Amino acid sequence: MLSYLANPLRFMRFSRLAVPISFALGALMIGWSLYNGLFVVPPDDAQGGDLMRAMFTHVPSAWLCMGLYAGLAGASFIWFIWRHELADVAARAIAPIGAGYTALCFITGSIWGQKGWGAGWHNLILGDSRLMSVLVLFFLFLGYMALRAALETRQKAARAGAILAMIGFINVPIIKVSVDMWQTTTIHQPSSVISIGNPEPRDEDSGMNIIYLQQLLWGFGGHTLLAAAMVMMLMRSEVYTQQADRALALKLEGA
Amino acid sequence: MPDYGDDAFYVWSVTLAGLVLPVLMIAYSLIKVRLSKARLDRLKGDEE
Repeated sequence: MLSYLANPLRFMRFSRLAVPISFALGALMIGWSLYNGLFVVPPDDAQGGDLMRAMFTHVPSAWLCMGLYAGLAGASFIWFIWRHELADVAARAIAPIGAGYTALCFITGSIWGQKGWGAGWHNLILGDSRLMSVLVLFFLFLGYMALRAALETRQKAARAGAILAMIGFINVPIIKVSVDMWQTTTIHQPSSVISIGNPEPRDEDSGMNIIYLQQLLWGFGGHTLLAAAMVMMLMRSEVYTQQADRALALKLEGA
Repeated sequence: MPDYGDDAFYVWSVTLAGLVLPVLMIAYSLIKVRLSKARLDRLKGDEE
């Protein structure tokens, strides 16, 4: 599938259809998740009563910002090894969407934390492994975009950006283990769905009741489709820009 | 409308942020793709 879409012409044909479908499905899934999360499921008293309904927005954005960074690092790796131009186009398109979802994770987490922890994130962030590692992720997205913008040729920008994205990937597992293995270094709660080395799972099956998990997964699926549609749109924009640059170069040569 | 008591402000603020930010990102993507397509069309039109 990926090698089929690696041809820009095929990608443009595929994305013309895939973008509206992803948007529509994503919006429906997010709507369904929020409807159930806000109006249907009962509050979970062990998780702070009604306040836990914030997780149906916060958790999908947190998963997605890590997933988008993995996508950025993966696309950069493909460009770095095989020099595939469309992989570089994808990496460039993922960065602003990843930064946006990381910002969403921060904004929603800070509002939730204000009530849940009784303190704003600005008072906690310096000494907290989870909050700090997510802040580093946000700066990695911004740094990637700034680095690319600062270099004069596309090849130099792609090479420097790819190296930064691949090195920065080390931060993704750090974010994950920061709440599971270094619990004493963070106020953030441990993972409720998939935990790595967590010594105290909340109950015998999983940390989370299935009725909440279902809504989380609908929300995550919806935001993933929405993010995929946005990335494809930005990739289309980049392909148009490259075609326009080539047309301009030909025009100047002819003049 | 459900009554979330003291939590209402926090729950609705988070939900609103979760809707507004993706809409802003969609608007950014749409504007960017429209502008780059318009530039390409203009250059192609000049060639012809």
